[in-house]
Amino acid sequence: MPAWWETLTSYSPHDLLLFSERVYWRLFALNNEALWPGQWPALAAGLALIVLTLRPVGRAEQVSGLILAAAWALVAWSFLWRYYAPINPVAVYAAWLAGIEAALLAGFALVRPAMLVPDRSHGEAGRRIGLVLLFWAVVLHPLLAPLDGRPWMQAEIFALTPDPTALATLGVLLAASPGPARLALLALPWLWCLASAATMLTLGAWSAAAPPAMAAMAVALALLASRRGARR
Amino acid sequence: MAATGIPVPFTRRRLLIGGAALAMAGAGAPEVAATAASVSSAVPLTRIIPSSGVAVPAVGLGSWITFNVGGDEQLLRDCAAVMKAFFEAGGRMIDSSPMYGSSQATIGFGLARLKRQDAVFAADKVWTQGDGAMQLDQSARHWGLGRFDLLQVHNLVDWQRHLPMLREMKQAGQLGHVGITTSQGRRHDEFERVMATQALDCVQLTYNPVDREAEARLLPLAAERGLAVIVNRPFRRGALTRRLEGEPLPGWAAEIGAATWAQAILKFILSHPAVTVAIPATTRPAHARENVAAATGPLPDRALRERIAAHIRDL
Repeated sequence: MPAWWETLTSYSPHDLLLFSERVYWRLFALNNEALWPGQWPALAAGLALIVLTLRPVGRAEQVSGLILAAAWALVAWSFLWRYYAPINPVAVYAAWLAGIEAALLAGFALVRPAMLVPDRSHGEAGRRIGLVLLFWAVVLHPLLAPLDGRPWMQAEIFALTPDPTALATLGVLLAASPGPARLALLALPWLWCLASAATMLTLGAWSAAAPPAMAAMAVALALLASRRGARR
Repeated sequence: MAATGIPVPFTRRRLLIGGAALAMAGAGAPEVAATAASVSSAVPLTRIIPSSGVAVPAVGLGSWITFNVGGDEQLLRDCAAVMKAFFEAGGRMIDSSPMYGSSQATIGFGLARLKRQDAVFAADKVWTQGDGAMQLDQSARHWGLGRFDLLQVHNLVDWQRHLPMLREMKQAGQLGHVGITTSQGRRHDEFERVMATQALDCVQLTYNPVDREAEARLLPLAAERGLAVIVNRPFRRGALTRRLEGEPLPGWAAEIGAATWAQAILKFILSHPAVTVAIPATTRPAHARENVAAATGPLPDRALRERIAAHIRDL
């Protein structure tokens, strides 16, 4: 067995986490401070996503796709690159992947917008789960910080921080037409949810781990149910 | 199961009080630890690096996790306050690694803010499968120093390439000491082989009242080879002190002047004759002072060491 492999496998998840919970939550305060008053347009964009998913009108799919693309681009540049990467080198790769997600979303929104149209033809379950995720991401997720006893400045807001952005993206995509393109767009936010939940669990932040973990599970179950439904 | 006894000779070079070369006793007698236990002083215990004769205070400052704060100005100032308390208490050795995120830059920030570049005993590591020299240049820039007092091969990563480079640097006067590190019992067999066959000044390993694997082979070998021993993870990344929180300090704590569990643990570590420096990490200035103060006053003798280890193990 090569020495590097022996060394690598000797690390536990705890060893690979190089920062403390206190430092991690401070990143959100710094990000919010730097982007202020961007929280208001971000909230408005999130609410627009909910409305467009509930009642799609006009070019709703294009607007939704572009909102999500802009959100991922901002998350990649601001939170992941500027604040997270200095304490966690792996975040550099996450930032690049988030940038790719932004480009893919923008590309689909402009070239194949039909793919992002909310679709009821494949059953209501996926759409309902999608709406719950979307509502959670935009409206309820920012409340986690104060509910957890942390200051409002550390609130996680859609389009400014990765967890609610990933959850909202999963929500919109679950409500959209199934297909390989949707799966491609779902992959990164889904993986982010798993990584975020693992990070929070390792830090011992159980309440923060629950939303991304449950979202990842719900999406997996919805996709499985959707596939079974399609076979019948 | 923890090893018992102290099979390491306790040489006169290993115990200095207040930086003065105060020889306590001849070599080879475990009872000398008991002699050391009777020595009390407000000045932190200083230990000698055998290969160079350089004296360093016996409690240093680690930076893993605690100093990885990115560009957060408030947390950078907090870390500088920890360093200030550490220096004021008499500490000198600060240890870091390129693996520790922004910790090196945090130390550099603190040293510049406190203007203590000359006071620090700078211990860092090389940790890469790639260009070690380039990484060391970057580390030196982060610290704001032109020369390290100690450079270690982190967790033996690519040690075959890095050790010759470090020895060349030392010969050229660009480096004070050369070492290797391991933690949490990782790769002890290979670590022992490198200790036995390579020219080193220092080794860094994990040792505390719960993790005593090093007592069996590594600590005796370090003493035999005249290597300084730096002890990392004295509190098991805080888990040990958290576990002991709320537990009353036993009567023996007063015998060795330990006011807290952290001090009792550090005194246990420092009382091993092969140990040179322990490097606890902290985010609190008060804890930095408390840690350095653990190197004052008496240290436990052999019998008390066993009682301390048993007590902590059984809690």
